[in-house]
Amino acid sequence: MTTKEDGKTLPVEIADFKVAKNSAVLETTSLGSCVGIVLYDPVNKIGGLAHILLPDSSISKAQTSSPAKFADTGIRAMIEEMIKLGGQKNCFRAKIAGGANMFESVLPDPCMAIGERNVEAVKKVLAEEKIPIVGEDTGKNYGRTLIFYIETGKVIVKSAQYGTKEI
Amino acid sequence: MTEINNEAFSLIELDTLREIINMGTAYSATSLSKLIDKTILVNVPRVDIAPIKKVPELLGGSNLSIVGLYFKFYGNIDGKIFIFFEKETAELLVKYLTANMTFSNVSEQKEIEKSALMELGNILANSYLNAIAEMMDIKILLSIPYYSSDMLGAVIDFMLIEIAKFTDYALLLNTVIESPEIKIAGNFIIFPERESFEKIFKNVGIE
Repeated sequence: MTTKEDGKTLPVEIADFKVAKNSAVLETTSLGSCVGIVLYDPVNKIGGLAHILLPDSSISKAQTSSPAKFADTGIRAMIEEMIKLGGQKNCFRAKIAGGANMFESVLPDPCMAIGERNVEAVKKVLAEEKIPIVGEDTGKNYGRTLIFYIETGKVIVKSAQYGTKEI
Repeated sequence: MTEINNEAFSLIELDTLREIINMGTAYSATSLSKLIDKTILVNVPRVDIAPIKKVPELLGGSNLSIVGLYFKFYGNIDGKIFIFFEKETAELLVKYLTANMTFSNVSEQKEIEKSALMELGNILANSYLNAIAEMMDIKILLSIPYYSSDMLGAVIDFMLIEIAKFTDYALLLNTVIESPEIKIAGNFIIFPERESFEKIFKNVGIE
């Protein structure tokens, strides 16, 4: 999960996270109801990107080999890895994207609101870890791709329907 | 034995699943064929077990533009069914379904197209589940359609989330339809609830 390669774009898959530093670029696609969480340390140029699926590990009934499946375990595992790489937690900033409700229907269905619950859970964990959220593109009804440039802390969010924006 | 999350599927059980999804898709293909007056063929059904993170790749790639219709079903067996078409196929199907219709503006056109696809999904999902209900002599009811048009990865992640609550692996019961006459590509994927698998196997006579 940890890599120190510079200048390359490193993909982060579903239920996974990666940490890197300096000129590395982290990218994740397919953010529908999932949430992509960027953590970065602008002082030490360390960054991480997680792609989480579910709000809380306590709802899981089975063993998993993917800590980043859940907002709580994923964010905390990523914080730990960033500190190992030289990051200072009190410098950390977060940017988040995703948590959409991708489906529309004649009648709204609360079961489809997992995206919203994921965003809430992510915000809760970040607040508990005292990491401020400085950029956000969440909710609504479109899929997103997130690209994170560790060097500058820049995060680009792309969507099929609405083009590109920076958060 | 093929194992997924402590549940082992024997060869006979996997064959049964393939037969069921083949039947379901064949009924849907017949419905579609009647609607657009073209020959529709069903490809060999696939039962794949894959880590959740690999599913978008298996279905055509996470950046593929698709239109997806999602339904829940209830009754003697429960679960979800997901039908998706590549964007070009959806556009072509809409042309057939709304033949000669004129629209007063773009937004009206988009609404009607969406409705047409939701209704199509409804017809196809109903055909699929009717086939299974007949085969098993049971009752199955379908929810209203849920519609999404976006990149495949983002559209299916809702389903992957549902699976991820219990396991890191997805059981994909997937069939593909195509036509020798027009360029269409469609997938049918059914996700029976875990308890429903037992009911299915008991029903067809294998324990």
